[in-house]
Amino acid sequence: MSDALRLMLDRYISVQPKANKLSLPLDRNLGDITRYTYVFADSLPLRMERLAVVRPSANVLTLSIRQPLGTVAPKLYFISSSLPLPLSVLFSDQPAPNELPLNMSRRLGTVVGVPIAPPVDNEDVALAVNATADMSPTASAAVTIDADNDVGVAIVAVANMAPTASALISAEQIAVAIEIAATATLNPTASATASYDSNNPSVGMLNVSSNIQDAKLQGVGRQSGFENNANLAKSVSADWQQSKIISTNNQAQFESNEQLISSRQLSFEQSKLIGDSSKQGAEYQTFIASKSTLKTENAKRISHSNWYSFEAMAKRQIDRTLGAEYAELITDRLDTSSDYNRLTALSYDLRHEFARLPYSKLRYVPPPLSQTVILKEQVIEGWECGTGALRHYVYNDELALPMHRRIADRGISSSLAMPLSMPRGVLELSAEDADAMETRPCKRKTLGVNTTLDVVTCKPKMFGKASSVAVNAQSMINATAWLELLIGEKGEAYNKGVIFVTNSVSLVRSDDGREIKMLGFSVGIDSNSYTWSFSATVPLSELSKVNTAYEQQIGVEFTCNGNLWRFILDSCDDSVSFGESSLTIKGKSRAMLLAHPYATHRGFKYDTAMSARQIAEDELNRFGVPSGFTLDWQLAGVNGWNIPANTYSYSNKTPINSLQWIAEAAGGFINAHMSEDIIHVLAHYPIPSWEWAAQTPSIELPMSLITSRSRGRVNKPAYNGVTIYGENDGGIAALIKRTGTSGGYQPPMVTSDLMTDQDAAISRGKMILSDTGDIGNIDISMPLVADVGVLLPSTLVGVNDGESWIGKVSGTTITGRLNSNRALEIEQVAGFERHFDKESV
Amino acid sequence: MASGNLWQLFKNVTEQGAKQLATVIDRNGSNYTVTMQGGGNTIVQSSAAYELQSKVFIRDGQIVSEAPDLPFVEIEV
Repeated sequence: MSDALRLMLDRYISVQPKANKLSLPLDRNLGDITRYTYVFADSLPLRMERLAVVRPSANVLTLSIRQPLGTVAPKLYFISSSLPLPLSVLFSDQPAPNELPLNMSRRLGTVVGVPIAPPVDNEDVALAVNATADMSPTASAAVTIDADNDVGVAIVAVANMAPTASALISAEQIAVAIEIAATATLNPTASATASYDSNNPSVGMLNVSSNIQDAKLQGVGRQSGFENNANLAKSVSADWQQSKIISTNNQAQFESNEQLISSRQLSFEQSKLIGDSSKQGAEYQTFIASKSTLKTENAKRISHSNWYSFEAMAKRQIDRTLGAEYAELITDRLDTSSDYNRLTALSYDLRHEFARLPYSKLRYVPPPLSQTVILKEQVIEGWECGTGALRHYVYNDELALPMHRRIADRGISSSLAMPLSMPRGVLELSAEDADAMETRPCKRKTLGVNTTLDVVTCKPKMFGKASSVAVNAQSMINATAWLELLIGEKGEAYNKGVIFVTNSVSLVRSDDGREIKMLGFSVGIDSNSYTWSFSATVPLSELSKVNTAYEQQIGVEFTCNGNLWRFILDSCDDSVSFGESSLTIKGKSRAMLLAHPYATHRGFKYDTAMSARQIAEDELNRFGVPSGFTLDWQLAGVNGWNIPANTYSYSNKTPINSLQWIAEAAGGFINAHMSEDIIHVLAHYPIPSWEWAAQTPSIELPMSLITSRSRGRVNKPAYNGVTIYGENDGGIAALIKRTGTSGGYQPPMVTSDLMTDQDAAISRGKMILSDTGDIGNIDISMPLVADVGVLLPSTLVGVNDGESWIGKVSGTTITGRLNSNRALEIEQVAGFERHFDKESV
Repeated sequence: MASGNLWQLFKNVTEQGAKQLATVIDRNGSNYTVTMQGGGNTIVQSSAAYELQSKVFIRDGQIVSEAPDLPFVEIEV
């Protein structure tokens, strides 16, 4: 009866292994490869690893101006030979090697190639990464001129940048797809306020224009100029020379302390802020910002929608790979990235340049660290070899390595055929190897190099077979389990909760209502018993109420969980020994009064034709004397079958014997009602067993009610026909056979006095043919609850005991006892007949 | 319950052989040769007299009683 709610674990999300836990049997250690040169940032005005948020405010930088006002510092570029290929270009998109001289000069931060659009595949795993970068630089400048006859000026410049970049990576379990969306929003605001003393005669303010010399004020609609203490004020623009303000609609410039103001741009030379909707630049403190890019020259940051790139600390994101040059960490989800302590993470793939990890499930193997390329096929004149000339090959190594080449492109198996690096220019092959080379054009022993050859690059060619590197990774997995209680996924216990059964039971005498205490009881019936059987253990002190030796026919009323039975006690056994005593009483249904010894045996014969039901009812009212019992006829039609005159004849039968005789003739049985004086005449198989699977039973026994189950199986002959023969002249002879069969597989002939009608033959035949095949006798224990009730014999019940099947109740027993806690436990054990071989419709 | 009703099991054990229908085809004293309903001949005994071609019920090698001669019907269920 346990019905604990099922917790359904919907999914697991695994986070990538930690990089430092990788155990790499590669023959190369981190940092062994020196092909890359790294530029350190100490030559730059700002430390490279300094985050934008920790940079000094703008006005702090004004002291280090070394450039003439009005000039813009040239952009700085890194010249690097360490980056032969663009960092973020697919191998297939990369230019041919010969197009990339090793001493290439490429502006860092530039991107060649088409940005990779990751596949959209985010079915199972969703890793949400939110990275937020807040930059709120504030630039302010204040200039005060104290001389009373001069102009007092206060300038405040504020620049706020609050870019936010977020990235989301979604990946299926194996096939990794990455979707990154990064957004940096910049909201620069620049304002400038010029205040002056209106009482000072040297302040002039005009809407359109004014011009003062020697304390003059010039104001024009678009321009005003002061020569000494000039103050030009306009709503939009001011321009000063010496101490002048030049203002225009779109620009303000200060030469000594100039301010550029426009609706879209602020430019300070000493503390210059350039801002527009997508960019702000300062000379010594440059902010370059756009929705997808932040760029500073001294500490610049380049951000794209799909990746961030730092100069001299390149960061690559290619499709499914993020690589870092030293010990990069690229983080997803909750990680941040710092310049010298980078974290690289992918949902399922981690790849390092110097310690590459192929992801075996994806069948990745790393490409050899050195790719040998035939630059040109060389032919030495005079070296004849078969029909061709000896060919020499010049090789070049140290080419950029494809970062992510699938092994599928190169064949799956084989060992690492090529050394990880080769001396440049020569490939020597042994005779065996040379012979084995498919591409070997000549079977000479040695391939030499003509160093004077005009080396012309040709397309890269791969020698050897595909390499495979076994990597054992011991990973620390930080797993986050997502527990989701799926209420909608209903277990059968859903919405039912725990089933509490409150048991109640009582036993009282029918005549005076005295209650009889019980210690335990059992009550049951089956299809072969016409009455309910009752037994109970009662305290010996109750003997006076149940002493059948003194009183005959003690009627009792037994109530259990709302079900009422009436019994007549017919037995009272007690035993007493030292320290203990017991008293057991037994009883049967009141239908017992129709049987021996309460009813007498008798004989009878009907001279007229009657139906079976009429005869049965007459048995209960012989000679017009009612027995008090009535019939509930449910066998072979409403009234049973016809029995001709002078056919129904017997001797020495009690009424119960007669009813059983009648019922058995048509494959039926009789059961007493639980409490009423009613005799049920029922068919053993009201529905043939081969039709059960198509039925919808009115009673369903759910698994949650089943407390135990035991099964026995018996295999009976699979008869498909039966011959039934009447024993009187008024009888019939019939072959009852299963539809579609010959009916030739039969049990011994069945004869009966009352086989007088086809209805009876059919009913009897169905009973015989139903009781065939692979039969399970299954006992199921359950609490006695109202939903199921007392299961009466021949009832069809839908059972779910792990399997769903339909069975017929063959009998039931309800037992009650006091457990060790003196609590009443009541259990119904019902026997079911199940036909395993007939369950497929 | 899985073992079934004890009384019923007991009855099954002690049940007499079922009555079988047969047709008398020969008589030799108290021995009758009969043809079983399903085919095949057997010899049964009876002190009573039965006419040839009459239907009889036999059980355990004895003719129990004369049987009515009823027409067969076939019914599919």
